[in-house]
Amino acid sequence: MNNPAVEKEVEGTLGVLEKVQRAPASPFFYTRLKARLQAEHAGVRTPPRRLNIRLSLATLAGTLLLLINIYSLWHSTVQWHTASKETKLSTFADVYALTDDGY
Amino acid sequence: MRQLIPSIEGATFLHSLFSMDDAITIPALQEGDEDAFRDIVEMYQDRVYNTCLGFLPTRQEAEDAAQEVFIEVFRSINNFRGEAALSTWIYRIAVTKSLLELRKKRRLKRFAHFIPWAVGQDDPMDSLADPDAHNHPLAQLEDKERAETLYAALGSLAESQRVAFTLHKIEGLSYEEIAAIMDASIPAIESLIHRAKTNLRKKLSDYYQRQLS
Repeated sequence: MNNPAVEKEVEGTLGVLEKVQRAPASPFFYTRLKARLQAEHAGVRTPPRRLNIRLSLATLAGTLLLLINIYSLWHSTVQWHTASKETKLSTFADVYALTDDGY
Repeated sequence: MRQLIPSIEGATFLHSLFSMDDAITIPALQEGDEDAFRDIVEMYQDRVYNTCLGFLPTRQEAEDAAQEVFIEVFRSINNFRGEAALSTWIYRIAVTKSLLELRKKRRLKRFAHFIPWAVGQDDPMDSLADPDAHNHPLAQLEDKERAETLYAALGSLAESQRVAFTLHKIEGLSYEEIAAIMDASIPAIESLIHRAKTNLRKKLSDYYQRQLS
């Protein structure tokens, strides 16, 4: 660190540590704690957070997408194996534009 | 200027650390005495809250973690065998709870990187590098930009370095006290704090070099 400007910035930022004030806990800390302990003791469950709901929905959506993909893959494989030779050739020609149309 | 430990509180801390007060308080706590529990909470709530605030970005998260610390104290007091001072044990729980919360936030942040809509934009973890938006004590300082930079740099330190450095520089604990909390030797703590300072300086230096170039 030879650049004096950089050194000055680093010292200034580290100096912030010396100004940190201790923050007092809320005056209602014990009251809230007691209420939480009583709720837990009574078996009251806190409602799931919105974040947890979103995560569950995301997992569900991901699983559904995966199932749809697996089904599509399975369906197309089965169709290909059960198709006649003529149909396969026709499909192949369509995919690679080997028909006479347009030429 | 920051007071490392306010005089009365500091005296109480040292008293509880080295005196026989624990011997009176702990049996009462183990018997489920509500007054003893209240006394313990009132004696330690500011220190536990500040310790949590040293790791977590918002006051709300720090208060939630601090409450969990005392719930753990309440539940586990019968397992406390007095091998360490009560204050050391409580600090250990506070550090562990804060680190667990931080790890949870990091996991969620990684998840949010892939599926942002699942986590949402209003999630508090977005505030990791934004103490300003959440009334963090660091943001109370005049130089908020520096405070944010420092907070981000602290967050990028190795966990053990961050714990030792935070307990020493922000909580104002001595090497001996930190060694007891982290269950390590004093030279190990000195080494951790030294490495934390070196890494912090390097990270800040790299950051400002990029900013100024």
